Amino acid sequence: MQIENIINGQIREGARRTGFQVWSLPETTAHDVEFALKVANAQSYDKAVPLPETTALLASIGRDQDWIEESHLVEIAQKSGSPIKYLHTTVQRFNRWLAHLDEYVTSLGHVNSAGQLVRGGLNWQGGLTSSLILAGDEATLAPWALTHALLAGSPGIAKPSSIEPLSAFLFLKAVIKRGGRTPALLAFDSTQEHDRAQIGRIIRHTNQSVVFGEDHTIASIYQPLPFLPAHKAIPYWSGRSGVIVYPDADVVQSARAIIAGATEDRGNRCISTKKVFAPRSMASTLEQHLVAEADKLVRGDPLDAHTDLGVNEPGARRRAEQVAAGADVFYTRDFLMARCDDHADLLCNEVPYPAVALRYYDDGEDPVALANLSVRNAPSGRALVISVFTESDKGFAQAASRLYARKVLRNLPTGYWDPVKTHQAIHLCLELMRPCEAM
Amino acid sequence: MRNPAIYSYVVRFGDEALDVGQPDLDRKPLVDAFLPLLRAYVTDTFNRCTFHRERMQNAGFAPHSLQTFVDFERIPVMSSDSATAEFALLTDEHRLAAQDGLLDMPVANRMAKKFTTSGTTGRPKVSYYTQADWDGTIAGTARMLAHIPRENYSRFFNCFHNGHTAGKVWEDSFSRVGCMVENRHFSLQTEEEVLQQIKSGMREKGGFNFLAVPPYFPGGVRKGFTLNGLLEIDLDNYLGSHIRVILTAANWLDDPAYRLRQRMWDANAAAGTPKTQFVDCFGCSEVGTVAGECEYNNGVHLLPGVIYTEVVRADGSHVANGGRGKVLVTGLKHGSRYLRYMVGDEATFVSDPCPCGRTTPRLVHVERVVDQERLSRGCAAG
Repeated sequence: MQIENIINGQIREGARRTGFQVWSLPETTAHDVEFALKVANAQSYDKAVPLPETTALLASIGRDQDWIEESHLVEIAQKSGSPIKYLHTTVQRFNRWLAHLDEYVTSLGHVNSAGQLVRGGLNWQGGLTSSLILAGDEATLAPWALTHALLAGSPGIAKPSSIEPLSAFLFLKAVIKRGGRTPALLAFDSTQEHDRAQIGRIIRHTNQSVVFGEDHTIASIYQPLPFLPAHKAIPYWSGRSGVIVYPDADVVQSARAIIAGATEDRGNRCISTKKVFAPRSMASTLEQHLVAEADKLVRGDPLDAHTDLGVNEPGARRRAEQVAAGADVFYTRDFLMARCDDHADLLCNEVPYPAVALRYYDDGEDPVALANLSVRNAPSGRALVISVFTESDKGFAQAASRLYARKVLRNLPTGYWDPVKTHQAIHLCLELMRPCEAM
Repeated sequence: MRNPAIYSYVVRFGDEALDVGQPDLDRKPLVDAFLPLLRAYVTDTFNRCTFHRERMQNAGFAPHSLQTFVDFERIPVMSSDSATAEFALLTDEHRLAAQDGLLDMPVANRMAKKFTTSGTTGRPKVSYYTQADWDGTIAGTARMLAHIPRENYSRFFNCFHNGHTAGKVWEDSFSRVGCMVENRHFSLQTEEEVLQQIKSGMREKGGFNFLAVPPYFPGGVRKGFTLNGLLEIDLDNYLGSHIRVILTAANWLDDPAYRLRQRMWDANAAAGTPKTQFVDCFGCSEVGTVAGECEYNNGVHLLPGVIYTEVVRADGSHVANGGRGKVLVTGLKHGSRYLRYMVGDEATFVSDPCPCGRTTPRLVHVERVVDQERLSRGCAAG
């Protein structure tokens, strides 16, 4: 499948192509950026498409389920190592959400006669130009983010992930095929200085930006830019998601959820479980169940329908081992588990590999305080998701009220994701709009 | 032709006269309309300018022998080096009077304009124009717009520096044909400031629709602010929305490094407006506007009238259709007499019919000559 740039609703073949990771992508020129920014500005503000029209169009894509085909999923699995089993699951989940997008919109508010969302007594105005810097190899992250941008009526420019650029291209093509208006899609290699400069140019000349990626990638994009007082930055920092197990929790259920959360799509999701705070008294039993659950995972060919774990790029394992150095590693089979202290890298930082740091707490220690301590140096100062395992309603409520996290789940894998709910504690489409009080 | 007579002006030498503003000049066989005037000009130059008379005599050329354009090729080629003396190319009368100015001459004989080249091909060249020369130049220039609907070039913004020949030519040509003309303000220092002037001018009337602008700076010579620079910063796309005609000067608009024509059309697409019409032209300070593009943008059509243009081989003879050679220009002026002057460019000469209906030949792939010395030394001109 040849991936091309898209500008003004049209495929724009690059004069030259370049290799990004394992993909061949068009080279994007400064002139492409210039054109795309002009189109974005021309489509902004009062030229936003009414929300019901956009919702109906996107829902039709979800219903038809034809924006991505099996051959595309096979290509993604082959090139990214993501197990096809997971790809099927995530695409089906995304399509379900998309097919019922009107329900999601209704959950946010109601639509007035002008086609604008009304929420909390405020009119939410779209049409602001946006940059979407996509990353990662989650095949539905790009379509999900693009759906939000389209709901917000945001013209602009999306940079596909260098690791998995296909889903963004296919999704926008499906929108265009149905007569929809889309942001431009321009491929860049954010490891290259020239391309980062172009990304910076796009950000400087749009009203807002959404940047996904590892923390250092996000920093490398935003930090060189001057302070832009009129620009809204929406960085999606890495997750540092984890689990707190209380003494009253079901150990078997907890272990199963920890392994599922840590290994789904090879631990590459921002909501993957990366750390566990559990009572020291439970350590032996918990580890026994964790190892048993981990051993059940089917490893191997990502194209095998039974494979759970898939393949990570070789460097990821080395990086995970470096981060785990000094920790007490007790599981290494395609997946790392290690006992850590409070300052361990594996506990405080994020690695793009299935790896779990366990911090056992003693009587008198507060696992919430320990969890909060582990994110003290994170860019956002919070974990993305913390799942609390307890039988106690009160215990959960108390923990949830104190945790530095954007989302607190109860007795669920951190990877549990309901697209109707917030992600990173925001509804992205609302963040891309501006509320206006009409009195 | 949508503008049958946009500006009329009659050029005279001896007993010959020609209206160089009439667009029909581009649709008549060149020989009928032009050769008598060219002969009269050569004769006048021979009689009144020692510099050229001596050169013609040394080459064994007599003006009365000029009966065909092939005869014209016997006149020695003027190299760039031979044109550096400021007054030698004037008539003897002007040259001798220059010391004390031309105050005693009739107004019509005085000099109205003087331009100095930037000297990219050697030392700077100087070119004087009388008012009649200038009027002829701007009338010929205005013919370039003959194929464009008037409503598309009615409000004109001139990005060229007003001290540059092109800046003056555009201002006067398009004022004369009736455009509302505004020049880039002399105080502006940045492209952002120029763009702001463009955006704010003529606002009550819908803004400018016609822009003259250097495409980019290929040789580092700043003639004004460039289309390349303006397109880069015009992210609100004022140009794509408003500008219907762009006049540029002798740069390769489709250079892959700039892709100016395509970028402008992209800007049109972003704005939902028709493609802007480009009129790239070719000219020089020494003689004025030599050639301009038609609606097919497939080379620049020569503009016979006050200028006669040749494309020659190393021996000074004219190339055939499709041949490539050095460009020589002859300006039919009463001021500085540039006669078979090697301007410093080479081009491919195309006389195939053009779908636009003009009968004038075209120059394509006009490029600066790298080895100017070769012709300078090889011909009698030097």
